[in-house]
Amino acid sequence: MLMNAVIYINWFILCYFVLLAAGYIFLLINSLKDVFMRYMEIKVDNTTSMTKVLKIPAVTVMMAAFNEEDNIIEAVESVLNSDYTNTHLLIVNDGSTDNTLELLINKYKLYKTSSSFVAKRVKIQSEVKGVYLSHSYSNITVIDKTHYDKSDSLNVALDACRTPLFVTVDADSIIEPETISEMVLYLLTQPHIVAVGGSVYILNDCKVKDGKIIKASMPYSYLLGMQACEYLRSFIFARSGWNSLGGALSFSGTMTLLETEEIVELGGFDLHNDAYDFEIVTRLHARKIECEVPYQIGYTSAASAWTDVPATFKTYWNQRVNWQVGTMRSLLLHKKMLFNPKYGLTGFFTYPFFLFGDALAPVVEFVAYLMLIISWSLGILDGYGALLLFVTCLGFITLLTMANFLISLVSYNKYQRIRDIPWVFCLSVIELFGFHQYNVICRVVGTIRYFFVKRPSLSSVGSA
Amino acid sequence: MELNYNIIEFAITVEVIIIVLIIISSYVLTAIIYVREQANKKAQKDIKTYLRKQVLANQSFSVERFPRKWKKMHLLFPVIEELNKFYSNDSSWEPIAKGLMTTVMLPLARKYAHSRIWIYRFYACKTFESVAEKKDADAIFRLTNDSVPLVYIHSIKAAIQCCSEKAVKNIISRMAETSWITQSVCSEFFKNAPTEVQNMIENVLLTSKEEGMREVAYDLMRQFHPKDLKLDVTEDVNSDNIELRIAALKYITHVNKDKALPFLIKALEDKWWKLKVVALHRLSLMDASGAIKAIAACLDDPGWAVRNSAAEALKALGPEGEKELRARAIELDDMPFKAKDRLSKMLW
Repeated sequence: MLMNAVIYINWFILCYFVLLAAGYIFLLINSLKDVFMRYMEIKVDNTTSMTKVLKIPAVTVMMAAFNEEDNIIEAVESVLNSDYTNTHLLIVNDGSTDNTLELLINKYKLYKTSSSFVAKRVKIQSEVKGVYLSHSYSNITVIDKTHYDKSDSLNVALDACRTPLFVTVDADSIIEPETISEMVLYLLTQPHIVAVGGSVYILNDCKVKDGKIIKASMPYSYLLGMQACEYLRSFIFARSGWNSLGGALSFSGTMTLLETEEIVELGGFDLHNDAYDFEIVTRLHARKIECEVPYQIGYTSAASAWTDVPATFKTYWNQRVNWQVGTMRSLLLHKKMLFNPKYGLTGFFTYPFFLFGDALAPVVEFVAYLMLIISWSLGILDGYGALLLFVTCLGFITLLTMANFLISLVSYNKYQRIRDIPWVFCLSVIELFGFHQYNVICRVVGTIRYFFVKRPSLSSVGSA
Repeated sequence: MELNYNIIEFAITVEVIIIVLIIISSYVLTAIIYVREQANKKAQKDIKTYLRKQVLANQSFSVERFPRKWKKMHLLFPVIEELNKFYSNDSSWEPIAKGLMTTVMLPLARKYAHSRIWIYRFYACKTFESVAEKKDADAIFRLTNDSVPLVYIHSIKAAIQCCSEKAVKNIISRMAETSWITQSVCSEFFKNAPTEVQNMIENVLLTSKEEGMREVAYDLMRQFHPKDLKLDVTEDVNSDNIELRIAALKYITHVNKDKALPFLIKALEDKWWKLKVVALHRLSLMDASGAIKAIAACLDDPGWAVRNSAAEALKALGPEGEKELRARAIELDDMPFKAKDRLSKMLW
């Protein structure tokens, strides 16, 4: 009986991964139209033509900074270098214990205003210590507050935001000059868009000066290279593939454009959640469907940001465990959407895919490894079959990574060196020999931590 | 059940073939893109040199002498835009640019207005924006139905340039389906449009029953000089559609502030908070001393936005309004009130 159970579980796992692979191939094919459009678009300097002829809406760039003295100036400079002329930069210093605030004060000639900040529209948990304006830059505002968490900092910025649109940008990231223009152009030119996401690339090993990427380069170390492949897969086809299906459930908090009033009405960002970006987009989906309002959540790969990723295995572990906890929280807070006909395609396809195909996939994979050991110990392991399946998985991951790299090369031209092609190929081949398994363990630990550590409910978010 | 090795081996073979094809394609496409980019750059450099020589020699543009190999929209347009910027203060460039646009670009635009390649349709739109004629009305109308958003946005300008009623009506119909941000951005195109276009928009209000289109039409009418409409706006001000009500209310205020006052005061008692906020904002922009009591009553509204707008309106109405405000909020003192006001203005 045990043997039969093991065999059935093995078949279930096989079917699960075949379905998952089919889903990814579907997304890849679905993304090709957007890729082709982008390939044509890069021939035209459309952002300049847009900003010349249109009266462009004001955009606030929100940055939450906690102990970012190494990166904050470059991040701010990248925003100031933007070709979008109607931006306001709102930086929230989240009680940094290093010189983040002092660096900003010295660099941008900030002075403390006498005004007091009282949150009116969104509930905040921390106390605002001061508001700083700049003598040299009329569009920079810095809000200094006591430390809480990143979501709370963004909520402070949200309450202070007076423009119809805002973009969240991480304080350790660089955006490209045309990023904001591309996102706004996408919002203006697609019907009913309420949120726009962009692509994220790895900043480590790139040459940066005064907030500009001088030389973009595929990282040549093992851990960074693996993460670069992960990001290529996540942001190229896995986001644009959802465009025609109503939009993905998650975008990167590194850079997302949102409508201010929409997020204020939702009550702001979820606290104690490292995947706050995931949660807010999912909540937006749910709210729009419940209100029966036509909407679209879009992704444009033309808008790019470059972010620092963990360079050591320990920091990678912490990041991925926290992300997994946040992902589980973000999805399970909205579990009412699962297979609920009221939520249409999002309820029947998008949400289940993210829950079972993304969040719980590491758990299934971990069980698969356990079943491998159990099958071997029971003497029912088909060695040749297992090897064939492993090679198939290896080939599939390599195929996906190379396909995304080709898409990136043709359409977005971020990595331009010829030697990047064989390097990405090598990385995608060796990924399944250790790194991928490490990633699975991180995420399984994160899933376990979610179920055993008590977290506040969504009611901690709300209007002021 | 047993695994079928043949299927798995076949899958592996297919994967390997695809991966090899992808690697080869990556190298080949990189090379093709590089070669094409270099060829385009060279051609554009030659065109720039040719046109600059003409400007320096103060020659007029001659289509017969212009090399045929350069008559391509994707080569010419970026060069024209660059030289427009470069020679913005030079009057000798203007006749050459006009000649180039009317004798080379306009025929190309007419030829490629229905092209399957959207970039050519985009350049066609941009050409029509500057030099469209009446006979281009049909082509422009088709472009206003374009599925590519960038083409559609530029077709708006082209339609206004050409004064095509059919195209303008189509634009209004499409704008009705977009978000309020897109509508407000696109409506800017209609600023400084000829009076003929204003009459076309008014016709939409007279003939169309569709609420979305009427709402957009009211908003577009506000881009023009105030004009009393032939129709009775009262019906739209009392419509069930909140967006239409707001648009009609804004238009009445734009045309005649005194006539609008009773409508605005009535709107302050409405159940929709958005309507109240709009009415309060409009009242803050005019001499509404007769409405101070009605505005002050909004300070007790359950909605924060309404209360805030009421406070802003009272403040804007001068000493009488401020007196009413302080009577309700006696803990207010000047410094934080003024500082918050200054900060709010800066953040906008």
